[in-house]
Amino acid sequence: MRGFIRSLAIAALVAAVPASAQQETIRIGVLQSFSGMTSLNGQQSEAAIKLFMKKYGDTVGGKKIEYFTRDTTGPNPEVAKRLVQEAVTRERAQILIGPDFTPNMLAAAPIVTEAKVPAIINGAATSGTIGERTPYYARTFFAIPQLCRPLATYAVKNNWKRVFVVVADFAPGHDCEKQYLGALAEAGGTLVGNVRIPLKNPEFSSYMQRIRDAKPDAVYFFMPIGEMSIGVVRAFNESGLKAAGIKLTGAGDITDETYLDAIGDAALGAITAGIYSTTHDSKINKEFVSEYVAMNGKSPRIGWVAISTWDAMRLIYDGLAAQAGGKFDPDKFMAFVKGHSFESPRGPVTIDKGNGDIVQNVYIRRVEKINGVLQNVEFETFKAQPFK
Amino acid sequence: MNTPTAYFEGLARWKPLEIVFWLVLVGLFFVPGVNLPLLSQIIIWGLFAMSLDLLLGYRGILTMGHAAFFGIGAYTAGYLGKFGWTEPISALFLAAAIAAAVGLLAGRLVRSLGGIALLMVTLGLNLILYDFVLRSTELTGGDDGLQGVVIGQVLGMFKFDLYGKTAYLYSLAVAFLMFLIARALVKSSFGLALLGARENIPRMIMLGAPVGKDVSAAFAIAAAMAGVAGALLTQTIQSVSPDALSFQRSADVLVILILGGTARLYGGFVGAFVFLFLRDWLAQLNPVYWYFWIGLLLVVVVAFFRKGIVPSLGVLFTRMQKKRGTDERTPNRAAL
Repeated sequence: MRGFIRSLAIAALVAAVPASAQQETIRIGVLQSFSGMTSLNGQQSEAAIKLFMKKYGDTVGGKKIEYFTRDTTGPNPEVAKRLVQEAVTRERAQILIGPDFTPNMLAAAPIVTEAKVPAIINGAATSGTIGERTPYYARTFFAIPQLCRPLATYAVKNNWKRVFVVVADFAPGHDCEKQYLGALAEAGGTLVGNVRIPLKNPEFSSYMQRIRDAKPDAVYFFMPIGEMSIGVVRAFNESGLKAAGIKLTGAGDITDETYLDAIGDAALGAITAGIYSTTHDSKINKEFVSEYVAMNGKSPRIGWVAISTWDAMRLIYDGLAAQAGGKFDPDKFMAFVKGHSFESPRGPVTIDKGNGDIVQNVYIRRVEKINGVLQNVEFETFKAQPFK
Repeated sequence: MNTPTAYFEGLARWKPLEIVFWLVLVGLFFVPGVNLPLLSQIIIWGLFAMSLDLLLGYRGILTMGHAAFFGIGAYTAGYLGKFGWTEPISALFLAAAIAAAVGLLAGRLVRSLGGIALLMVTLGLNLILYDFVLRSTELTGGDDGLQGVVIGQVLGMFKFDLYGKTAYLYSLAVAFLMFLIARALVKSSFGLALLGARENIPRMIMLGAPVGKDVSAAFAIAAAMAGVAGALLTQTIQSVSPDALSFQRSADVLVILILGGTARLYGGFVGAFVFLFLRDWLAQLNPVYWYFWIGLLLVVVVAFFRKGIVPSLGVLFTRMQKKRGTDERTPNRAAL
């Protein structure tokens, strides 16, 4: 009897070995902030990955997909760089999603270059930080110019020629201000005033007074997602600027879906530029939204990090399918990813062939109430916006 | 033990445990599969905490702005690397010098203060510097951090590699040198004068000790060492962001030092090991809710090791020796 069991065990081993040798496992390191102020990024990323793997399976191109998550804790290059180092050396990750935040990805760039590990950036927007830093970066988020230039053109086209620009006083805000003012000058608009609001404990009413005094046709806001955006949109409404007929415009962050309900009706009518709205009218988006909601519930609502992560997974699966059969080759993978175009729930997306940065549509949206829910409704498209 | 020379010699004698401590750190390098990037950061945090120990442990100055010096060192190394000065070791000296100069000024400013007032002023200085760096985006890159920092090879031979080998040995060597300096200082008459002023300032003044000047000097030395730690961080991660001088860092280093134990020099290193190792481990177990556990663990550790880990273990060690009837306790064991 013992002999029989032993031969059975040997037979099982023999059968198991070739199967495991055939199938290569691809480990994806997901480096996002899962704790602190921006923990929603991590939650959305993981939700999108889970949904993607449920829908498309955990095997692609003959390779099994596994992922692990690590907490970057926010914009903290000290932690992020170490996590990337650990991910590629100790955890043997072959592909990364993240790290999020510009300082983190800048710190990580030399490592992914040396280790030849492709990293899909899904949460940092500073321009000139992708192909300029390493051939192994590709971005599925957005670049600041995409969010900041179109609305200047749009405002002037609608005869809102006198514009007041308000940005948050941090690096992306300064970047955006520069982009917006450049586009405004090109379009022939007039800047009637601009202020930078500090990130901490701002008192908005004095800024609103300054806007009132300048008598602009429209105001442009760029604020980080979260409390600043909520505060500024509410203050705009409460100070009567909205009632005075001044148009409220801004980068899509100020009416981001994940915080839109917190702003409430004050957001109605706000016009923003954005890369994605859950109401985007396409079959693939309707499917995405219904499946996401079925899996994760209605709250928190789907934000841009979720869609960026979803598209990062799309890139990874397409890239692996393209090199089915063989062993994973990071250079071939990047060669495929760069120049790849696909239909995302947000619309058509192309990864730039030379740079690896994203080229995508930017939509002008208005906040409306649909079936009692505040939504960003797209009504005009700026096609295939460049990343610089 | 009667002459001053013999007294200081007795103080300076290396204890076996000390030698073991540093040998273990060297030995860790050879352990297969060891997490070198994490260990490098533990060493850097340990050095940073040790620099704070000179002020808090040996002089009783409670500062909430120590990250300012760390950040000054970090940004000095960053700017040097950005503008072509890629040689790391000379950059360390420059970082130390600039941090020391600022430390001297800060020491001059706060040396007549004490208690809460000192705490508020150091905190204020830290916040001012942080806000300045955060807002001067043209100069510092704001919260995107300084871009284009290039760090050359150590001694022109050792490249900062993917596995963090160079980074670890380099950090360890620098930390050890700094430790030697700190150790020599606290076991000298200067160190005794600091300890004396910590216990009883009027009495030290009566003895004719330059109490105020000593504070300035202590600040300068502590700042230089914090600056070196900051420069090490910049060089090993090859980037720098305002996080280097955030208030959070000032608070964390205080927690690390108190956790490890003050006035021991080793307390900072031990605290850094416990704090960072736990943080990393817990964040891996649960990336979302790990702050809860770290809070709980801090409470537990502080409840059971009231004076910090190193002093508590020291007491335990002495008790065990007493039981065995071989009490070799010297009057100066507190200065391990």
